[in-house]
Amino acid sequence: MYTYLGICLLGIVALMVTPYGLLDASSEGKYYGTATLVAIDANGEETLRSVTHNRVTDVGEEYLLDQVFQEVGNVAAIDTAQIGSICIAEGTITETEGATAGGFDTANTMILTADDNCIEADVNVAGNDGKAVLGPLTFIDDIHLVTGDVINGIGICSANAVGSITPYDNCLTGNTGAGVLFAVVNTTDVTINAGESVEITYTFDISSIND
Amino acid sequence: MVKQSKIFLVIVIVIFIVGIVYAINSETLLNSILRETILPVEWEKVHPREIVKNSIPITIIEEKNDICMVKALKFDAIIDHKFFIKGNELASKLNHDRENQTIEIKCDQLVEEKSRFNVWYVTDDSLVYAERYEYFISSWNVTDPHPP
Repeated sequence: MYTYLGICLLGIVALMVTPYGLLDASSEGKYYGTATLVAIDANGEETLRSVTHNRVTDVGEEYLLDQVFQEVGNVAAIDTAQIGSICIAEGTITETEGATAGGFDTANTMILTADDNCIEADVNVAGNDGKAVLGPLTFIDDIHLVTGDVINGIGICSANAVGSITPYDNCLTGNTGAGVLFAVVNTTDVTINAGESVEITYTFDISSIND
Repeated sequence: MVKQSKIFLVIVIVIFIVGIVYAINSETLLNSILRETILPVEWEKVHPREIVKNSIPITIIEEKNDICMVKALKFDAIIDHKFFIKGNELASKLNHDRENQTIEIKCDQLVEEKSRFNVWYVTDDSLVYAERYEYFISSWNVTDPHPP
């Protein structure tokens, strides 16, 4: 009886001490992007702060590699319009790698209104520890969206090729019909009431562990 | 014979106790199970892309037996997000009243009259701590707090 009990306990001990390393995911060198969304009420008070990771689209990955590496016959493929805009969205936004600017706009019910849901940012990556930061950009009720709109998605898009920093409507045609949806973010839903606004910052981080 | 068995069992119990202490403090199967289920999330071991961080202001409405009912506008937006698999579990734990937009927490957790209520969770596709979440309360003025 005691012997059997002892053997059982030994078996349990053997299981317990079986080496099993916890994967330290933080050490992975994967690039990633996050959107920080801050909802602000009509009195200027913060009502929600949310940091959510993005999904870089296939088109976005290709665009990134194209801009950095592509060169055929000593001709580099350079698009003068960088990824420099944030577009807010309401609707059934596809958050998959296959998402495109056209699909993003089609699903986005905000572009049915007269308001301009995309804002272009100035982006300076020099000396920024491997990070590109767009924003913070402020989307204001009655300017960039209509009262009652629910922001539930964010598109990171090409800057407006026209070169204007004036807000504009939609991801694809904002860049003379050739806009790229670099990444999409499924945000915490935020309903914008009269006088409210949302401040959005997008950070794309390719820094290594030691920056 | 019985005496020998008893001695064997005593030795095994000692090994068992030493084994538990070792298993809890080392990279072992037991340690892994405890970390994935009970022990606090080690956030620095989760890749940033797999962490969703939310915070909202909370203000005290009513205090009863050390439990404070607080106004938590937009708490429903946090728990309703499709990435937050265990959002309803948290809502239930905090007695969330969706209609009145309130939750209940221990009064001694509150930092000040208007505090920052933080909810961090790990997405379900993470290799570590998948679907785990933690909430904590911090000073309202600190916009980027870390779990204590």
